[in-house]
Amino acid sequence: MTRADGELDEYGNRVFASLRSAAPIDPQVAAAEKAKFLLQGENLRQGLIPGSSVVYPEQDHRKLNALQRKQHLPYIKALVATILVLIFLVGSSFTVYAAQNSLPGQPLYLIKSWSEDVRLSMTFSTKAKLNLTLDYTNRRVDEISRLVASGKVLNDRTSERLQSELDNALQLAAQLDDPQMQNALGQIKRRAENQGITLEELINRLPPQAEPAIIHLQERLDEQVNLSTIGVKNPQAFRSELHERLRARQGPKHSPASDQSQSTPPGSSNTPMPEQEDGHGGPGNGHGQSTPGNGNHGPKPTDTANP
Amino acid sequence: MRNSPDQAILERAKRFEAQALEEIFDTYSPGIYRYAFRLLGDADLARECMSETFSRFLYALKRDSGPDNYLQAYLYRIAHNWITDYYRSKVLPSLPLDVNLRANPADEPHQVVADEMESQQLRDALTLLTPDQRQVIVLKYLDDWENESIAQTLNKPVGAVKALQHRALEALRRIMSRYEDINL
Repeated sequence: MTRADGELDEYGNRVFASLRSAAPIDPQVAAAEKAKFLLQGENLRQGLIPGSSVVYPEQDHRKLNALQRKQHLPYIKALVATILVLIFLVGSSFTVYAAQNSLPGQPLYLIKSWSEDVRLSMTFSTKAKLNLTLDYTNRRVDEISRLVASGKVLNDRTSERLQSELDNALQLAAQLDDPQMQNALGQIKRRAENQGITLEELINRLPPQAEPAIIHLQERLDEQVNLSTIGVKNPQAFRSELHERLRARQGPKHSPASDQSQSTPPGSSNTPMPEQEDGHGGPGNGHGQSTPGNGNHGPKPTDTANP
Repeated sequence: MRNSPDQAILERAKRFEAQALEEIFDTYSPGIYRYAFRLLGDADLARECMSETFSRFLYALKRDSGPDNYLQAYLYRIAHNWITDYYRSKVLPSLPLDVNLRANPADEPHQVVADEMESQQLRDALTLLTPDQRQVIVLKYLDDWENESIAQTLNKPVGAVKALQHRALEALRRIMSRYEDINL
């Protein structure tokens, strides 16, 4: 090092002393940023699984809004419930009551489904939710029986609603601690067995075109019984099995092609990316990697602004 | 040596394994934040820079255009360019009114203001350097990096890094002396 270099080095150390102190990031802010980063990573990881949906940066904002809407959903549902109660009190209860006996395909059935959803969303304890869900599965089986008895064909929506409720019951049970879960699974198992018997009796009265749908539901109820039996014996194996089954079911909802069409090159946003400077490689050049690009720079005053 | 080979963790990060991503964030985010804070002088901006740096890193992995090694260098490069673009897009204020003065209770008020003015002038002066000059200076004199690590970050020979330092300090000294003339 020449004397001039040493002098400059000393100048550098002296002049930058005032900037050396940098307050560390607020731990809460750091935790929030970390959570955001990990969430982004998880979204992208799901994008690697064929058929999963991917959230890209420009979608983050929309996703946040959707999330906020979701967060507001219980309040909205509570509001709707309040309105329903008011209607009930001022004498219009007939509609809601009448709806409770409606069958799929009838005009009032929508109100029945709606009121069930509202009631479920206003139930906060997991056990209470589970009991309500199990009651709803009984309702669905009852509806199916009545539909078939009246010579009508079982529609897909009713069948899907029952299956979704069966799934929900298992998921709710999985949220309980082990002893409670085992009790709940015993209850789920008994219900599923009874519902299976009801459907078995129904098959003899079925019109031929409705048979495959009912048989499918029977298989689903058998699965419910099997899963519950696993859970009663081995809670951990049940949770793992449930997780795998739910993932397998959720998998084929989106096609990779649709994911591809959603993607927007992140470089098109306003936030800069690392750039090449003066024709030199960026980090990692020479190591077989791409340099993070910055495609949206205008003129570079800083490159030539040396006084 | 700060930039040890990172292939193993990057391989896991490319699969977006939560544990690997967490490890990367925990290891590098404090340094990236400090680096941004020193150059920007503002906690919110430093946080934004840090957040964008890690977000860009993830999407680079997604596009398979992320680093295969030297992760730290890569992240600093992203942060560095974010800051460069930030300064390009903004009209530099004189001394911001809401600046967080890190006062020593023993200092006289006029000394606190004078010190902060000097710090802000220094930041402004840094923006007048080329991006590479600025990065070399910050890593060397604020983050205490060795020249070899800086060379790795910028992918330049150590000799080129020393030359950048030299030119940067010369330029800074001239800029700061002009500020001193104005203040007088």
